[in-house]
Amino acid sequence: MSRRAEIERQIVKLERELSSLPPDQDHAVNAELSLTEYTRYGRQMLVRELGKRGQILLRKSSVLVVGAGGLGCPALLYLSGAGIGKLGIVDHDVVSLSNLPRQTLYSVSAIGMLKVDAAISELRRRNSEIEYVAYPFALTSDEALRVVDGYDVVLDCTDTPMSRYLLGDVTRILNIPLISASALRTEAQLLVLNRSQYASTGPGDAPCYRCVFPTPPSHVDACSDAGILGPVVGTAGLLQALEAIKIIAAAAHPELYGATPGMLLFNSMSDRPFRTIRTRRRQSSCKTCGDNPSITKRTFNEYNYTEFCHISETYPVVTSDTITVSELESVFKNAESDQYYLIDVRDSTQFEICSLANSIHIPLHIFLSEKLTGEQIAMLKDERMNYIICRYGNDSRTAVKWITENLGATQTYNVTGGLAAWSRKIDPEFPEY
Amino acid sequence: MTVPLTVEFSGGLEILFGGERTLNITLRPSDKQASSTIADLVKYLCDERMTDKRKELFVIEEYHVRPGILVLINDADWELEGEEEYVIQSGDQILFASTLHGG
Repeated sequence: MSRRAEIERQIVKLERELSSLPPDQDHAVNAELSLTEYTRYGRQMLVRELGKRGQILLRKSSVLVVGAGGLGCPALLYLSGAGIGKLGIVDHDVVSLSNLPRQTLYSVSAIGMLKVDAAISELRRRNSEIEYVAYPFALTSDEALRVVDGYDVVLDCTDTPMSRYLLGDVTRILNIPLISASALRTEAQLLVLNRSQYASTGPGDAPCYRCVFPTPPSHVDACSDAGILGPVVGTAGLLQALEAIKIIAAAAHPELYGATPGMLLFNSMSDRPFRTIRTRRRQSSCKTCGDNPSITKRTFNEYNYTEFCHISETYPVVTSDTITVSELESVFKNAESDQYYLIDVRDSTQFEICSLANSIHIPLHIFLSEKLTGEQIAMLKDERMNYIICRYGNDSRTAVKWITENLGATQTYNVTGGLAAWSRKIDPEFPEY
Repeated sequence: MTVPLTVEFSGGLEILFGGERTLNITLRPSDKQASSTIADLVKYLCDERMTDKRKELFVIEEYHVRPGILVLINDADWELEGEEEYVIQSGDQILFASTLHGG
């Protein structure tokens, strides 16, 4: 064996030995805080539930934040502020203008930058004592075990069922507490998973994500379609940071900490905005943490999350009876305005944001709940063309199908791509929201 | 015996029920039954109270609540109470919450 090969073999052996050793804790546990740390963290150390021992625990701990969007930004801001020793950030996306109202780590100058880079540069300006690790990719089952392993707490700040199941499984397999949050419109939800007691080191009877949601949803709304208020998603992100801090600091004062809350529903429009829900406990039938788990450290790579979370297409597919935005433009130019109707089926909130000047507003739900007036029905059935438009062309397709099925043969066309295509291809002055 | 109860919707489900977040309901058991279960309530909501025709956004396979909707009986996951079989008591608060995924 050559000298080179011999050394390489020794390196591999030593690295393996090193990774099997527990981390050197004595130094970190016993180390006194630096003078600047006393000053910086003094206010929170005064709180009995944290104290100096809790602060030292925060400093030697690590938290992985998956998703640096509306949840991740406020969570990271406060975790970094609190002095967590190491923060990992996973996100494959770049900053865009529509992120800025709620993704509080980004400024106009960060537009186009990778979120992980922009976030770390901002966090470092505020607290450079912390180790930041960037993972600029979308988490997949190939990478997840490697990335997540070794972190003390994981925050799920992602926005798809697939990533939520993936993180739920990987954290349960690795026995890491998971704080999962989500938000839409005026509401948010928070779940503390894999831990039923703050100060415990194991899951006990706590459910994992798959225990609570054994079957993936058959329908999902995204923030980009249904909307989101910044402070609503921000509230959920802050609660995630708080739960992470509590889980880490509980070991310093176990007598002050009890059971984790399970699930919290926040509805900002309710007269009871915060509600704690008693969730189910660990399920013996769970595929990840039940009595006969099929998703394990060994089989995890083979599990197909895309297939499992396949969201069925709820929109009817209509191939004929369509018109492009360019064709619509020539209709506007060439046809007399009494030869057609342009019908906008978006909801009133969206119609108020912007609409084409010559459009008639009939929201989709009026069709689907069969609340059309006799006048509207007569209008749809008369000899004029009906051009149906919405934001992206999906709701309008549903409306065209409804009209064709319920009002018989009418000259009704779906504007493909909707108003978004109109702004991109025909009129750049028409707002995109 | 009729039972008065409160039904609440959240996570966008209210859109299917004419935008109403809260319904005060008096449930009458059908002829053969002495009481009403969650399954009866779900059927009643679909047949009598839903204003949107897109039933598949609330139930699948006839009258089973679709995956992705949490059913909470007096602030407890319905799994703890017997799911569809739970017998509704006077004054119960039943919340149907669509799980959110945005972030």
